[in-house]
Amino acid sequence: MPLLIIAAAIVALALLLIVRRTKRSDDAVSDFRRQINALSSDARKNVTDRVRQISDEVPEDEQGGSNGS
Amino acid sequence: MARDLAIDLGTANTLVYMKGKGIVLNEPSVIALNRQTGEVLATGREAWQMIGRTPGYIVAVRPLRGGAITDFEITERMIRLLLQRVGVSRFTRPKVVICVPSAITEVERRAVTDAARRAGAADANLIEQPMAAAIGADLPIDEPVGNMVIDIGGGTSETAVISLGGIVALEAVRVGSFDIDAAIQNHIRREHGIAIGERTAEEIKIAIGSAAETVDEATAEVRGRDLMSGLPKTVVLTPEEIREAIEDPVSSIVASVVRCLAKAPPELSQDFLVRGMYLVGGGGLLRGLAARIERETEVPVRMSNVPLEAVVLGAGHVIEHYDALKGMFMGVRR
Repeated sequence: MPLLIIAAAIVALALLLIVRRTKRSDDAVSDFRRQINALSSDARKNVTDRVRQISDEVPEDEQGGSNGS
Repeated sequence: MARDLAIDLGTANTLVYMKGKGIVLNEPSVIALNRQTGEVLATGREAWQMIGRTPGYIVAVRPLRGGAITDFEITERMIRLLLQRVGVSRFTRPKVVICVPSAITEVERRAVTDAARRAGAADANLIEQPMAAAIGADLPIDEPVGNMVIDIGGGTSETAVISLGGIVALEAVRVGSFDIDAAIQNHIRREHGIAIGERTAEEIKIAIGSAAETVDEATAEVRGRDLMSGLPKTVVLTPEEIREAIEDPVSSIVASVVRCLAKAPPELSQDFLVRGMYLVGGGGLLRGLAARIERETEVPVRMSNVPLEAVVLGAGHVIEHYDALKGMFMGVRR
């Protein structure tokens, strides 16, 4: 009987590890996909438009220096 | 609740992007202090105007050099004052993403995040400048193609090859616009016996400085202090002599671009011939620099539409998509 319980526990543990590993690799794939989607031109359009609008509004002579960032 | 911020903490200028609003601050990274009491007298543009023109008890300094914090306490005070100007207080603690040079050391990295946290940020994460610049320059870095970005700032120049949202090859040198200004200052001191300030050197660079011969070249008059007599003196400078004077820093920058090209995998190298390289940062505005890089690498060079704002714009995009892009922070993926 104790042997049966130990065997069942080992099987359960192995199953748990397999499920967790699969889930982790699924998470990595979806994280990567989310990152790539967030870097796409469509996702970036709002920010680019907003800053272009701002830089059009600011005359160049208001800049402190040109040495860059 | 404070809005989250993206900060381009540059050697020359500091830009702040507020989530949902866009760029809310663009000021020189300068702070003016009372030397006797240690009190801050001015920051940003107001302090920049004081450089080299202050009485003995006031000192106007740039707390960052070569993209690194040289004075931790002053940098922290400058960041705190800049954040206060965009509405950050001890009760409103935003998440902050800060752009830093990719060659930054672990100690410098900690210095920047600590300075931001002490200045009022709830959480501070760092992102590499070339990556932020590539996002801000609107390069298709989500695609499996070679995107090359050259970011020439005040204290550092970085060239990176980016594909599929990650840096494939990188080359950074601690040489930037300020080294070009310093080379002009040294040349005029050595060849003409005149002392000039760093702002005058920058004005000369803007007026007649170039990295390669250009079509419309003119001479410029410069006024400074004669080192022998101590009296004000005027001399005429030619574009050729300034080009020779700045040859060392310019060739260092070009050499680092060549080294980065050599590091790129061959599959991506062929993309550069078609797509070209993108130049961002204030240093990229030096006349003839794009042509010089193009000549020495035989790869087309294009100027970004927003060279001065590209880095903060890219970091701003990261703050807008914080959860999706937090894997890009320095120290997270490595």
